[in-house]
Amino acid sequence: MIDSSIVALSLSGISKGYGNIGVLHGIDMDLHQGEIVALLGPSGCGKTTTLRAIGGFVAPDSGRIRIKGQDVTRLAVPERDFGIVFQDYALFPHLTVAENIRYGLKHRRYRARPHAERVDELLRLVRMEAFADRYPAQLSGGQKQRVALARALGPNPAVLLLDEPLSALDASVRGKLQVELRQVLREVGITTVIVTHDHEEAAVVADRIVLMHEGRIIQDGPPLGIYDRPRSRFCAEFLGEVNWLAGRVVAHRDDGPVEAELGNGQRIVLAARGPRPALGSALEIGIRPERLALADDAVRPAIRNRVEGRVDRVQANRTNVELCVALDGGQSLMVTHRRDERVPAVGSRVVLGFGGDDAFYWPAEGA
Amino acid sequence: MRRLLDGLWGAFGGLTVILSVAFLLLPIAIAVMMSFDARTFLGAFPPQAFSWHWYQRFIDEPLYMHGLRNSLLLASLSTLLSVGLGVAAAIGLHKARFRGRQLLVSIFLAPLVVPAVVIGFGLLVTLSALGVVSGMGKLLIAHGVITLPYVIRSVTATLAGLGPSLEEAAMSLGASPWTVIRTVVLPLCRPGIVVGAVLAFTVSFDDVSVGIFLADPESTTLPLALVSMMRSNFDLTIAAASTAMIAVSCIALVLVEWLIGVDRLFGTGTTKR
Repeated sequence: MIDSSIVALSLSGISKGYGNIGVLHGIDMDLHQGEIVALLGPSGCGKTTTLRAIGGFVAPDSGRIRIKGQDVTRLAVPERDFGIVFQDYALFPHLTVAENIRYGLKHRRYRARPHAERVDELLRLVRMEAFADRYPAQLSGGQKQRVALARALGPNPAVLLLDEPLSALDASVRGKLQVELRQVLREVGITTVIVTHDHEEAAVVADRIVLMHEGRIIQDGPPLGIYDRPRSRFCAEFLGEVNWLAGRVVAHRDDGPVEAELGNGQRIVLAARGPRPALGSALEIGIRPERLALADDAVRPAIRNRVEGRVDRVQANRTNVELCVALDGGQSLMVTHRRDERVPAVGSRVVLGFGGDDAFYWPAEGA
Repeated sequence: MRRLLDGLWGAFGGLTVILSVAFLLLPIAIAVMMSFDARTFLGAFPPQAFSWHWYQRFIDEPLYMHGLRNSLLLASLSTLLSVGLGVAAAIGLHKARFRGRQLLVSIFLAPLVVPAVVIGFGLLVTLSALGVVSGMGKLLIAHGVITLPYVIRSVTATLAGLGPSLEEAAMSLGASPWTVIRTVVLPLCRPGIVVGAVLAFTVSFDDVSVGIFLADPESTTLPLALVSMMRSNFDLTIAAASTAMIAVSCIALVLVEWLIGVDRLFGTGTTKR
């Protein structure tokens, strides 16, 4: 699995600009042996440029890239020990599946095993044995993706780069292939960087998410960790829905928690996190919709906060019910529930409960 | 009402296609039919009886036979020349990312729009100044110039459809830039190369307007021989010779198809099924 004693890929201070436009501003990132890291962010955040810099398709203006300790910053693409799967798979259309895989073995001078054996092994790995003699045009999108993966893994590179490898596929097969992709990567144990703009995909496939925004890494951590503990408004909103509340610090409890007063005079308690905000300072408080419980149903003893409001709107989809609850005092909150739970009627009054740990907060800007 | 209109449009479309095809093929069909006319003079269409005698006269005429030999040799050599240069130029332009690239593309394609007469006259003066004396030599250079754009165009069009990720994938699999060209770029632009070669061959084989400036009696081509015969001795040998030229062009196409194969040309791999 992950061997944290070995750094397989290391980026330090990578910057890149085109003319006056900066694309990357000092990217620092270390991947341990066997770790799968997702570079996540909206389009234009620099994630693809970072990936292309690792492969050598883009030359950074400054900074160092090391693969297994070797400085590859100035090496040409064919001299770097990596494999890549492109968004469009880039299978050679004039070669069969087996010939596509053999291409890398031949030109990377793979000698560990006879090439025919290695091709068979890779086809088995991605469950494409029956398609060895087909041409790429005869394969479905998902099959092409698997062949592209097998081809990239063929010469047993130190690092695997995946550039939005599943985004060209239908939503119906994507979910299944995400799980499959993670299994294959785990089985091989290869250090992997996957670029994606889909946080669900990042969460399924990767061990760690590196969130990028405007050419910088803004947060880095395990998928659920950064979902539950975003450190900025951008991060919180990029990863999912958030309810924002404005509050003011009114008290610090002895054991750490912070007590805040909302606009409507209601007080809530928030678990201490990071440096304590000053008494009287303004806070921006975020709560995920699924973290709000209808207090009547709630059995969790940890819940310490209750807010009251009136149900404004109810909207159901396949699995969930979304409620829009207008708090006394004007603000409204989105609440997500499983559909089989009891759903309050529009217009009825409800009490919402959440734990001090369910919310995140930071000093409000401009306050 | 809607259906009636659709029907009328459909009929109109069909008629247009039939008329266009007739317009294109009719003169050729008439020339071919007349070449088999048994009459010994240029009679009215249609021919009354079948005969090979115009072909006999075509074969017996040394000017034609000499011209045919010259034309075949010239078309083959200039095709080789323009395919060699054209493929290299197209790949170079495809990879190039320098200022003035677009200007270079325009210059390469210029012979398509510059009148052939201008090219012919220009080359006449230039090649004389450079001291090229051989008629065949002059013609080969001239046909290289006029056929090159066809090869560059068709190869460039194929390359444009490839996308950069194929070459990047090849590099990531350890292939050096030359290996990428040899194993990925060249095989994938084969359809463009073949189309370009066929066009180059036919353009060279058909050329009158450039050749007329440069050919000497020794290097007269078949189309030039036809033109000069038409002035001096207008009879149906010309129809026979034209039919022979059409046959050569068709044979060239069939040969290409047989040598390279339609499935390769349009690709088991390069097109979707």
